Amino acid sequence: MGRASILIALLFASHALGDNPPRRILLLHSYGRDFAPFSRVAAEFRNGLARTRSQPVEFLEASLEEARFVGVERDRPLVDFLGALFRDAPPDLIAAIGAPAALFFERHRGELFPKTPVLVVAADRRRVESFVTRPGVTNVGIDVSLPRLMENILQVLPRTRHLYVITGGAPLDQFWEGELKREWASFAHRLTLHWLSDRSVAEMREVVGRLPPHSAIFWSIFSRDARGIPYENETALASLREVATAPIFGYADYQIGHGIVGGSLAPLEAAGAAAAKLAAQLLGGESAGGTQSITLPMTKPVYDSRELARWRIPESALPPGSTVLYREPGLWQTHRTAVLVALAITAAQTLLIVLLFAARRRAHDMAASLNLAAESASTGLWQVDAVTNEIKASAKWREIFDLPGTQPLMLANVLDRIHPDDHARMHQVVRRAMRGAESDVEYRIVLSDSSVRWIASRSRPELSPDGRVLRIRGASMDITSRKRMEEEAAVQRNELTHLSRVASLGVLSGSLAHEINQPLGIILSNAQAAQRLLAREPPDLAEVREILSDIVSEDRRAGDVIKRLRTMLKREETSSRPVEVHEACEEVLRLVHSDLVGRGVAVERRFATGLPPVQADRIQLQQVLLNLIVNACDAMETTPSIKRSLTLTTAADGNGALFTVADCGVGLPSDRGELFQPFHTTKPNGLGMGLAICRTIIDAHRGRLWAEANLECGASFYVWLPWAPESP
Amino acid sequence: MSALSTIAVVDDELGMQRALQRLLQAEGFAVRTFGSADAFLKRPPSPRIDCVVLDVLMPGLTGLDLQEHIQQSDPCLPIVFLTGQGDIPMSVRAIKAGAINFLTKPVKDLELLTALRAALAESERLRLAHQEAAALRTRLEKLTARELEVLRHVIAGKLNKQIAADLGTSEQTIKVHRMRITGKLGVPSVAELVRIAARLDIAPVNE
Repeated sequence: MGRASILIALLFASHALGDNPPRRILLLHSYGRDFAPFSRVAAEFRNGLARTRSQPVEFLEASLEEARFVGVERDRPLVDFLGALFRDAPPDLIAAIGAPAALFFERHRGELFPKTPVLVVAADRRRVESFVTRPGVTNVGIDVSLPRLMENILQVLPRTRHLYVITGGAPLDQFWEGELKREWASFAHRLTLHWLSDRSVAEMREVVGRLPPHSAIFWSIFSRDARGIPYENETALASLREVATAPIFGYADYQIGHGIVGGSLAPLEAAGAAAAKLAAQLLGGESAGGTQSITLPMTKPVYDSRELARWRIPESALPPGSTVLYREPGLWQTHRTAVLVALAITAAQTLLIVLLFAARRRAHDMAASLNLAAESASTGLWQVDAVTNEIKASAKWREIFDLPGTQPLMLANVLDRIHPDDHARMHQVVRRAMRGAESDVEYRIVLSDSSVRWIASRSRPELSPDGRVLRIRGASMDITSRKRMEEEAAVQRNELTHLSRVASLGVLSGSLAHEINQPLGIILSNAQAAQRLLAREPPDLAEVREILSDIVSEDRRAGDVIKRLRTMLKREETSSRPVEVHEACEEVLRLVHSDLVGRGVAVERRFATGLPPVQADRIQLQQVLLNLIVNACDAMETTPSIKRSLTLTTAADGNGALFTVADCGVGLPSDRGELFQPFHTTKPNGLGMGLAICRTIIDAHRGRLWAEANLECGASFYVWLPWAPESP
Repeated sequence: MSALSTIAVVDDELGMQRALQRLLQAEGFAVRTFGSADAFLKRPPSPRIDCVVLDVLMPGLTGLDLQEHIQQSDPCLPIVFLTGQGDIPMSVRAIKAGAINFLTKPVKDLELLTALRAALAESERLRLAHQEAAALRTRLEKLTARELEVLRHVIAGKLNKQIAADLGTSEQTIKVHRMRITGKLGVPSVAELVRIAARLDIAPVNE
């Protein structure tokens, strides 16, 4: 028997002892009976079959022990042993759990029961392709989408920059490490991958205990560590989770609940269950074959609420249709009675307060003291009677609203004061307040000398016991000076933004002249050719017609350049609107086209398809992109011309778009933070304002602008902007 | 300059290629257009090109790069540069490297045509001079070593007597050599012999 250990287990269904002899299933494990991931698959398979079969089933289990013993010739002894066991009658069904077991039967199908149907369970199709297409072999395959596993991570943690991949040294571990390296290569521009397969578990614990910010851990198949120590049943996962300083993501459904965050996973347990159903059919007499083979897709996204809480991942970040497991039972479930009692007490208290308040309403001393406090905070107090619309207000309020005197005021008097532009909005606010809504608004009023004042008001309704609005109480503040300052700051920011835009276009003036001279030159030469053609006898009118159409289109082109320039040079109020991502990018690229050609910079566009619009001021967004592109070109001044290339990438990232401008230039200064400071410059004629202003612009858009060094050469600048809200 | 001179237009913009082609064809030139320096270098050898109108700024090989290639492969082929921006250092570099003209877009027809004709005339002159030199060289190759030696004495302004003494032979023999030399080269006078020798880089003997 060599060193391969053999386990034989008998299992009878509870009502197994019928008249028929039990059907015999040979179950071959790849690693060991208790070795994850396949132990979970086998468990589901056994349980599933026990549930579906009414006839008794006998399992004979053996194992290749691939994770424990390397370089041991085990095929021959195992073939002999299994042959001896089933000398009298072959098994009724063979279940090969995992790819190594399947490959064993592929090697020895001739000797080992060529007529017995084989079920290959939970092997990735990539590894067992040739075997599962043979007659008599049925595949319950799993579809492991490696990009999807990466997206699990980026979906909930879009800012991840470092991914630590835990894989082991067993052949299967290494196979998957190779696949991951290949299929994840395309993510290299977004994050750095660190492969830990050459470390022992103790060393891994050290690494994951001190991870840099924006890190995540990916737990791949891990059966044996670098020192050859085998790990069963995710014991290593639990040990790493204890010390991990970043969230751990896994690959398979059975890992959920064992410390992984979750996502869309490889359907291993599901494969065991599905295999049980197929096995029941096969034992029932249906013939095995390719037609019944199935491949299970990745599971629907599923998450562990405890992990989400531990890593502060909001449920709003999860993809639609996600299931969240292991929720802490809510307050309601655990303390139902206590909650009811608390609610009753609160209700009683509220009633008491209302009563007390009503009793003391006429207590002028209290009102006066309240007024005094409000006065010192330059806040005016008021209340409106919901029935009569009569207003009672403090002296400060009358001062703010420029409505002096003591005679009673009506709501209409106040509404008359409201600035025409805020009229409609405020009428709505008042209507809602009268129906019992709280309000918190900022609006303008026009005083009798036609000066404008900004007011901030908050109000709350006072209800009768039966829920009718009796009156509305509120407080108002004069916020004019704050508003003025805000406006001035906005004007100054706008001015600065505009100046910087003019400056960056100034840098381009040479190539912009080229952009305009080019069509003008074409127009001139065409026109002069036309003069000659018309002077001929007979004139070549067909050619002249073509010339004219060329002239018209070149004229339009020159006009477009000027129009684009004018838009960029105009001093305009910021206006945030939905902006088509690629249109905006293409316009900028057209504007800098000649400059790029002149500097010998090749442009590569990597645009994601079907991106929704972002919410932005189009001109300012283009200004930022223009700045980043010109900077990238400057950084490549000393790069050999063959390598001088600029990549503009767009991609969906969380709930926004990510623009990347990557160059092959001199890279970044060691102190990243400095980059975006005003007056930081590396250019002899630079002011050092460009990036500082870009950041101000993007911040004002509630986006993000940052820079990172590229792996191979140069740097990448990233701009992230939120999607525009969907229009109704 | 023949009426059917062929002009190559090298410009990355199709619109510009078409406009120049129309203008030049209307003036009676044959025109071939190329979208890049690379396309020009890979052109079939025929028909022969007499002058190149070349855009400076192009993606890939620039006009200046192409100029270097042409200098090496066909030094007689004249180039007229067109540029969108009057970049002075660039013009200087191009003209130093032998560009006949450097024009700024938008270019007026007369300006371009004048430059083209001057370029064609200059290249015609260069070509003729090359041809003449080639013809003379074939004739020179007919001279024997001894005759060549005598020629170098003749163009140094020596008399037959001096040459005979220098070469250790009789004056009569030198006379025969001189007759054969003028016969083979087809020039009667010493002045003409001196001119031809200068063209063919034959140095007179020095004392």
